Amino acid sequence: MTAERTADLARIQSDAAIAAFVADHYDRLLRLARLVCRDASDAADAVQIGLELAWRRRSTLREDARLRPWLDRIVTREAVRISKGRGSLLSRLFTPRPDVKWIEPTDRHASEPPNYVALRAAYGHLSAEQRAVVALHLHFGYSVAETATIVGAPEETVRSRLRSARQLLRHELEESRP
Amino acid sequence: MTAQLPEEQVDGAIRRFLVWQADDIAHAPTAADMAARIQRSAGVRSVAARLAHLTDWQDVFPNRSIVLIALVALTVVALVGSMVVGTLLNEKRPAIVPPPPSQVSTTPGPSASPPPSSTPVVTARPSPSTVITGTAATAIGQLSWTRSTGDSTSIPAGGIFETPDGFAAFEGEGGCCHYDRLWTSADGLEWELGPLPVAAAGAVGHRLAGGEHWIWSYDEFRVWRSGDFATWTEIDISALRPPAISGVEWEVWPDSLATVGLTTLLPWRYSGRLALAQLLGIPLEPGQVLSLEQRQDGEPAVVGDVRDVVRYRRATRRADEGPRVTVGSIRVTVEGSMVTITDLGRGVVVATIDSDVVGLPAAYLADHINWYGSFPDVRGGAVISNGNAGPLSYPLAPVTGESDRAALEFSHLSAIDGRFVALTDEPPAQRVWTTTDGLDWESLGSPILPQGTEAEAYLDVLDRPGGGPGMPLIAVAEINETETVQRQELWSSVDGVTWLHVGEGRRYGRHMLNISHSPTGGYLGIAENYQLNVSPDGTAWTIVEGVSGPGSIVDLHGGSVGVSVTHKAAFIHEVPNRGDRVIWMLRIEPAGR
Repeated sequence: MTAERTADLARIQSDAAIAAFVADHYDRLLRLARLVCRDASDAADAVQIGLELAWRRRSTLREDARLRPWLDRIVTREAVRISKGRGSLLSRLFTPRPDVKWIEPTDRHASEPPNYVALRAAYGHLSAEQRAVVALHLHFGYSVAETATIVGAPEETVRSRLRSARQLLRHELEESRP
Repeated sequence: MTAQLPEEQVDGAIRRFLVWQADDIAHAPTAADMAARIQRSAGVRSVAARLAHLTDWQDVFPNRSIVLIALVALTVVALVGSMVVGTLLNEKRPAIVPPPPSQVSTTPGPSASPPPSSTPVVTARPSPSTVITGTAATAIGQLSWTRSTGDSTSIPAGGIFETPDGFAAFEGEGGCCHYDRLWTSADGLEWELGPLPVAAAGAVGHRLAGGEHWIWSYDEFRVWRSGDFATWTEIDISALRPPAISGVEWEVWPDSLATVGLTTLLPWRYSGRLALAQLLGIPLEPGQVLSLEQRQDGEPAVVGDVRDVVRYRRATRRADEGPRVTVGSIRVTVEGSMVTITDLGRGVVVATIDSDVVGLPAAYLADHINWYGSFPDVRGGAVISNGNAGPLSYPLAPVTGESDRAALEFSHLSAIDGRFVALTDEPPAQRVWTTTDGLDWESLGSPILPQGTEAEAYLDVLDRPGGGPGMPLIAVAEINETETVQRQELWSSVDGVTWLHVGEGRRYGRHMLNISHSPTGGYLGIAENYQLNVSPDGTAWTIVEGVSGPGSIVDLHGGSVGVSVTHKAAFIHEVPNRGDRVIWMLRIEPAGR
């Protein structure tokens, strides 16, 4: 086998491994990032950066089965970083206000349950850090201790973020009741 | 005024919304597209290879000699251009003289302080492995620092406080606040690891208030106090513990702790969790836990569903927590006030929980157990006076329904001006409460915020060195500037009600991960790039070059960076999930002394 063919074979194997790696984790990570970021585009960026980092550092993991919380941690932190970075003057000028988007008559939002309008607005007003702990704890089922590890904050901080986020969401739910 | 929704309705609505929101990814790339992106990025290393990947240059320039000539010409033009530009810049560039520490810029953005005034001295020592010392002139005084590197047998993970004999720090595998061993040090440099100072089963927590040390155990809730960190006295709180329920383990954790005179308030929350290992007869190795797995289809679990039980290793100080192995399944059902747990593997009921005993609505309790395997938080608390503990009376009217619980949450409790001051979250604003005995509470209304500040601000009150009696409260206010931007400000209060901007009230030049008092006045801050920043007034921050920084050992694998402040010294601790720990001991000589 020539050196070229060996290189090609290695590349094909590598590409296949990347494809399998992405296929295994993409859907979950995209949903996680979507709950932290303000739109699917930012979420995809966060997942891409997270998966690239993870792929390069995968050799440092001793057991593949321990990959999930590690990936969740990388993508969550990247999603928080991207969300906060959207606050620059330029990005604000060029990013439409998130609460404008949901009055567009798109199919998805046309079928949106009525109280989701208020909830989505309230959820959008949470900080990226608050959205991260809400997503990890309330949606993905991580315990408070696990959530604290993933976001890199003390448990008390996680509890505080959860509490304030729930209060705000509860308030909006109550206000939006007919 | 809208009536409050029951907790279970709020939780259900939020969960359904999160499922819906997470599904809003229609315009995101497909997994195949994402894999292609990553293959392009991760699979190609060299610049030439990247260029070759983007464009087939052979098609554009079939004659290689033309390409070579063009490249040489471009290189010559670039070199000549850079020389011309460099000459111009050199002529016009003003001399840069670092300002002396006393001339700190008042602009909010960070500026570099002078470099360390003495060359760092490296000393090899058996424990910790390496020690580097240095000094730096800073805006808050002359800083002497010692950087020690070592492993988990020679360097504590953080949370350092002072004792009559020097310094101490607790540490545990359970992450923040769950400790199982104690570090002690006479000088803050050489540390010795030992057992807990009290006979607790399981992890403990620790807090310093009113000049006394307090320790509590989480699993079998017990409380000890000590004035000298040598002699410990247990407080009898047996009458305040949650009810015993077969198949349920309780965990209790204090929200905060404060002391005024002889009275200490200790509000806590407790939560029951299913003792799954016991109920299902599943053996666990040390460090392994059982939990309910989320549904693979992402849908929220409904009471009555089959709930898989997974076993995995939890190590909260490390990033890796797998593998998750399904070892059984349960079903949660509710009838009347009774919540029933069935082991589906054996087909037998393994636990029956009376929601009336727990004090929660049955449907809410069942839904929570079905989702998390645990109960919702229940509030408790103690007022400890003259060594005796009684139930803590909460500020609002007696709880009449589940929906009142949320409004009763303390988000902060402090001792200030000879009384207790508590903050509760009551959207859209927080509310301030005060008491002198922990029993009769008075509402002082919403906090009076600095002029021009939006109401949507969340306060993180800084720990005061040694519990800090007599010091004003200093809080980091996180303010929602826009929908996407939060800014930080420092606020000060002498009564917990009226808050003023510290200094001129300017926003920070950068977001700080961690802000604390300095031992001798002023503030220390760890910025997002992990560099140490100091500020004499809370508004103008300067970077202390050479202390911590972007070369931090805290990396993507997780870990933490923190600051501990005592009256004698401050400590920055960098604790990665793997590899060596680093601890910086900072002694500050105030300017002008």
